Parts: sequence; structure tokens; C-alpha cells
Amino acid sequence: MPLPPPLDDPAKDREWKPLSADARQKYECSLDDTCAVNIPQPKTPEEEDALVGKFLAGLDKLFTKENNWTFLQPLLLTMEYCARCNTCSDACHIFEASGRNELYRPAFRSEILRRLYFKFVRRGGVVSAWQHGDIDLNWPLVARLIELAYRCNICRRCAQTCPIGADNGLVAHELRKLFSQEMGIAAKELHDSGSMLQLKVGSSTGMNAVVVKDNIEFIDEDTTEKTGIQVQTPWDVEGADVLLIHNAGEILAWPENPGAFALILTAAGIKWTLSSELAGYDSINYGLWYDDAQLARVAVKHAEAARKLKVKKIVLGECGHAHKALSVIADRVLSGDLNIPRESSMTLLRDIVMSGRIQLDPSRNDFPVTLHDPCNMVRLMGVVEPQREIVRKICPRFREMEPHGVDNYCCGGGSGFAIMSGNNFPDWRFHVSGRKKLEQILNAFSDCLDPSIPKYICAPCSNCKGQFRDLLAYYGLWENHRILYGGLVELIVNAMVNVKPGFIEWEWR
Amino acid sequence: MTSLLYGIIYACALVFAAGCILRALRYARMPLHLRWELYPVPHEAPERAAHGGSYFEQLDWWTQPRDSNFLGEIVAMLAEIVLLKGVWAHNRKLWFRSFPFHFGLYLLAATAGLLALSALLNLVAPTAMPGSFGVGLHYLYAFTGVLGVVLAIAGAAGLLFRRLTDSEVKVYTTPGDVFNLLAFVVTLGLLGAGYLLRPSTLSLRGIAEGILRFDTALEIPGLLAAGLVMAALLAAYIPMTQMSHFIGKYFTYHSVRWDDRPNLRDGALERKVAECVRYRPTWSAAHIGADGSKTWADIATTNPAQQVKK
Repeated sequence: MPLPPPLDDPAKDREWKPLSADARQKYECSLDDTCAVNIPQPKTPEEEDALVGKFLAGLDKLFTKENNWTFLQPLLLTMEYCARCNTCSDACHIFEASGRNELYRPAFRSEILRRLYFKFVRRGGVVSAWQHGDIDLNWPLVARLIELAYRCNICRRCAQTCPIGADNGLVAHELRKLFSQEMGIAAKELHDSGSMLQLKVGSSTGMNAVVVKDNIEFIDEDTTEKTGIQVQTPWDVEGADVLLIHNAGEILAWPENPGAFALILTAAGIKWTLSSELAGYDSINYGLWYDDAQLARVAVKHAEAARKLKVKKIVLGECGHAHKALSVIADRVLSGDLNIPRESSMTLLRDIVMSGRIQLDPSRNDFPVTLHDPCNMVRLMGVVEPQREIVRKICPRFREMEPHGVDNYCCGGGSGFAIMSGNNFPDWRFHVSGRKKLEQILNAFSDCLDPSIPKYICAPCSNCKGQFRDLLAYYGLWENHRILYGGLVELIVNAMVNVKPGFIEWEWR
Repeated sequence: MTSLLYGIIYACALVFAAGCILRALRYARMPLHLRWELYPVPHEAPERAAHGGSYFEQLDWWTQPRDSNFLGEIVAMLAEIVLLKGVWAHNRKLWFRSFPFHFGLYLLAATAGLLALSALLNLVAPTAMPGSFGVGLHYLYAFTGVLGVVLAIAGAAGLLFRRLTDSEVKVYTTPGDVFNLLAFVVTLGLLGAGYLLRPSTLSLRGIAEGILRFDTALEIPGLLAAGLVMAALLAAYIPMTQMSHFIGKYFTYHSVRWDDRPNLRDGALERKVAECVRYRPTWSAAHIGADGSKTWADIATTNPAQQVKK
């Protein structure tokens, strides 16, 4: 897919780093030009048969209420009602950016699962094959399907356009679930270094409670010095109105974000707290993308932290998938005294900004700003306007990307890709899954690409920021065109009149 | 032979009805699933539905009364069902084939309903029929019938042509897909031809009355009879295939895409979830810890990372 200026010369596009021969030899890499899951190649035909047997056992379980009450109805409807009209295809940024590579057509993956469903779960024979299509099952198919499940951002743009309501994003989700919950196969960044690490020490960053408190203390000091406003983050305050839970990645990678939150909430007179309970200070929930049990476990930990402190509500910091996981998907998992109200920080911040509780000077944000919509906030949760009301108020040179809101495009880092950097997977993220978003950014700033004009992508989501960090660095867009990225709270603090000017430091990080 | 024709029509009507009901019941009886909605949700308050917003945009949303925009939902449904709005927006080329096909079928369903009404009225109130009402009814079902057949055949043929010639669609097309569309083309063709070539003494209302009264004295010409048999068999076949998406779509939209019901404390959803978390899964991966005896609730409150540590 061609890009607009200044990346419109295909000859100047960066070349893919090829997949190493070592990786190709050790892992199942026959799907395409990259490898996300690193499945070791079986050594014998018997091993292959055993794996196929496990896959079939998992496939059966996926369609039983005992094993999959969580998504059985939506999955069955998708299996039984696809009209194979391909309306979904044109909505998919991955399919488009790949140059319409058939592997990445949303319906391709679903069609494989559908045929497997009718043949092996419904035990269909000749008539079923005639009606639904036939398929041969073997280890190469299963191995490729594992990888293919990790070539979808689960942004559900395809589902939004399906006239019947079939959901190809759900299919990728369910396949990942089958592989994880039955075969113990998942991208290590999501499982071993993700949800398991979070459940072990408290955060997927590896920070335990002592370390995170230490880091926040440092951030408070730094914020106080930078802004001239005394900031001290409260911990474990019983009876607070708000338990704020950040994506802990912010604390390590973008400390100005939790610092800005602390300053805003304190200045607005909100009675708030962080929690030092296990997982209580890290809103991430990677199980959302690949494993229902892990999703539920982490959601329960988040709610338990809130219950212990007897807070009135949980507020999710700037993290899209955390928003969706705790507010929407896990909503029905949290019952009784774990059913504590959950709110988006976008909503709370809008209330603070529009109420006048903090004094703001938009001229401090007099630079081009565009807003990236995290899929999990907009299309999958309906939080669209609050962040826009804020940006319109405090950013005089705000311009939208097109399309935006519930029609947004994924940053390309969704469903965990932003934290997956093994092999040459980042190249796939930049050249394929992130390409449409890159086009949108360049179009949004087409009138001000000159490097003398610093520009800001407001991205109120940690994983999206991770993708932008890598994407902008890859294409030299900070170096050559001064395109920076950051969260929403940084813009708010930057505009606060009682804060020393220059909270947003135009430096790369 | 007329008895056989009537028998086939009634049996197939029964199979169609039973098939649709069974299919709907199957989906309706599935357990409550986790929320998986997709915005925009049309029953949201109009000021939020306009941009695809949800009640999460309200501060302390759980303290606010739930807005219910039933009219918004009805308008969205009608636009989708009658005009195929989604296809118009996202796949214009397909819309020019799919819309006439579906609208033609709606007109034919209306024709069947009007014929049944006309036949019933003629049986119970025969004096009303020669008057303006009866004549008006006659012209109405004649119009809907002819237009319906023309649109549906054109649409079905267009869809079939696309399936067979568009390289991106062809690769996903199964023999069943081709058969389904061909069946419509052939059935509607037979019905249309049979209607045009019928004896002038045989009216559509007369056939409808004959079916209702099981009038074995009525002689129906072979071509028309073949069309009626094909239509009956096709109707019976529909619930067994994805052509019954008029059923599935109710659930994909109302039970999934538009199901944004929050789980409130002590509410009905909590009671349903309580049933589901008692299920005993059997997933095999070690970190799940499912052995068929533990419930979902047990598994969700177990920490596999801490257990390994122990």
C-alpha cells in the first residue's frame, strides 16, 4: 500500500529484516514472512499426530457451554451465518496494507475454522462438505492456524461492516484461546512474560509493590520539580472515591503520564488512591486477547484490590485494552461485592476539564495535534466524545484523522502486537498492521510536515503509544519531521496556568 | 396429483416453521455470554448514538437512569432489514444485486400474505370481494407478485454471476452456495412462467383458496405446479442453511452487537452468571488447572503463578 508524503517514494521505504534461517529451522514459520508464536517444530510424525489430536479435542471444547459459555453464542452465530460475501475484507487495515494478501483476508481464517467446525465438531459428511466446503486436517494446517491467529489486531472493524453480524475478530480470539487453554500455546509476551508474570509479582513489567512505590515516589518528585506544584501520590487509602489503575508500562516508559494524572486529580480535589495489592497497580489484562481464565483471574485481582480499599469506583488510566477488559468483557465475571463500578479516565477528565476546576490556557498547546482513537475505547466500548471535548478545548490546532471515532483504524499494535518484538515481527507491524495508521497520521499532518513545526499525536493508550514509538522511530518521523506522541493528560497539564510552562518536553523517548 | 401438491406444500410449510423455531430456540437457549458489543449501538440516547457513544461517557454512569431509545433501534433495524443499509455503506457493488433479491423476496412474502388474506375473505365474506376493496387487493398482490419475481430473479442471477466470476468471491464459493442461488432462479422462473402461461380461468386467488380448502378438484398446470413444489421445497430447505440468516441476524444484533446491558448488583444478569460459573470446564493446559471437578468460579479465583511458586 503506498504512503503519502514524505514516505511516498517506495524506493525509499525500509526493507524488511528477513526471518533468520535459525528461526525457520527451529520454529513453525511456513505461514508468511514472519513468526510470532515460535512453536517448536515437532520431531516425529507421532508428535505431529498428538498435537493434531489435542487441537481436535480443543476444537470440540470450544463449542461446549461447559468450556466456552463465555463466547459460545457469538462464536456459533459466526460459524453458521457467514455469507462469504467478503464485505468484511475492505474494512481490514491489515488486508489492505498487505496488498490484499489472501492470508490476511478476515474471512480466510474464519473459513478455515468454519470448515473444521462443520467437518469435525458437527461430524459433517459429504452433504456438509458440499454445502460448507471441505478441508484436510494435518499438523501444517494447525501450525499455520496458530500463527494466523496472531495476524489479526482483533479491532473488529470487519465485524462492524458485516451485514449479518459475523465476527472475524472473534474467530482470531477464539483460536488463540483454543491454543492457549487446551494446548498451552500462546505468544510468550502475552502469557509467560505477560499475564503469568502479572499474577506472580504484580505487574507484567516485573515491578513488585516495593519497586512500583519507589518509582512513583520518584515520578512525584520529578513532577513537583517540573511543574512547581506539590504532587504526592496516595497509596492504599481506604474509602477513597477513586482507585486509579494505570497500565504499569506507563510508570516505566512514560512516567510523565502517571505524574500528570497525579497532578490533575490532586488539583481537582478528587479523593483518589493507587493500590499496592498484587496486580492492583497494573491495569493490563492480556488474557483479553488469548485466554478466558487468565482474563478472569486478573479482573478478579483488580476488583479485589478495589474491594479491599472500599473505594467508590475504579478509574482506568490511559490504556485501551484495560478499559475494555475491566469495564466491558469482565463485567459479567464480577459479581456481588466484586461488582464495583468502573469508569473511563476520559469521562472523569472531561468532567474535570469542562467544570473549570482547573484553569487552562489553550495557547500553551498551540501546535498541531491529532487524536488517535484506541479501538478498545471507541468501537468496543463507546467512549468517543469525552476525549474530543477536552482536546477541542485545550488544543487550538486540533485536527481529526479520517476516519475517526468508532470508524477508527487500529494503530497496528492491538491484541498484544505492540509488545511482541521477537524475530522480525516488528517489521510486519510497521509494514503491514501499522501502515494504515501511518497513512492517517501523515495525512493529518500533511499541511505541517516541516520539522520546524513540532506535532503531537495524542494517544490515550499505552500499547498504542508503544506502537507509535516504534513506528515513528522506524521511519525517522521524529528526527526528520518532529512528530511526537503522548497521552491526553500531558496535554492537560501542559495547558494548566498554574503549572510552569513546558510540561511537554519536545524530546524523543 | 393436486392432493400430492397440497400435501407437499403443507408438509414443507410445517418443516419451514418448525425449522425456524428450532433454530431460534437453539440460539435463545445458549448460556449468557460475556459482553461483546460493538458501537454504535442505536438504542443509546440519541445524542450519544449519533457518534457511537455509550453510557460509559456519563460520569458515574451507574447512578444515572438508563436511557432507552427504542425508536432509534427500530429505525436502525428497519433500515438494515428493508434497505440493507450496511451493504449499501460497505459493499456498494454487492448491494445492487443483494437489495433487489431480498426486496423481491419481501414482495413475494407480502404477495403470499395478501393472497391468503384475499382467499380467506372470499371464503368468509364473499360479497366484499367483487367490490373496490377486493379489486384493490387483487391489483396490489398482482403488482407485488410480478415486481417481486422480477426483482428476486434479477438479484439472484446477479449474485450467482458474481459468485462465479469474481475471483475474490469464487475461491470461497462452495457448490452449496451455487445450488442455493440456482434454486432461487429456477424456482422463481418456474413460478413466473407458470403464472404467465396459466389458463385464463385460473386465478392466483383461486389457487390460494384451493390450498386453504384442500380443493382436489382444482387443476393446476404442470409448470405452475412445478414452481409451487420447488418453492415449497426451497422454503423447507432454508432453515437448514445459512440462508436462515433472518433468524441468526436477530441474535447477532440483539444478543451480541447491541447487548450493552450492564451487570448490576443483585440484578438478573448476576443470577444468570452465577449459573454459568458453576460449569466445570475440562481444558487441558496446565495453567488452567481444570480437571472437570473445579468450576469456572474456582478457576477464576485460583492464581496459577502463585501455585507454581508453592
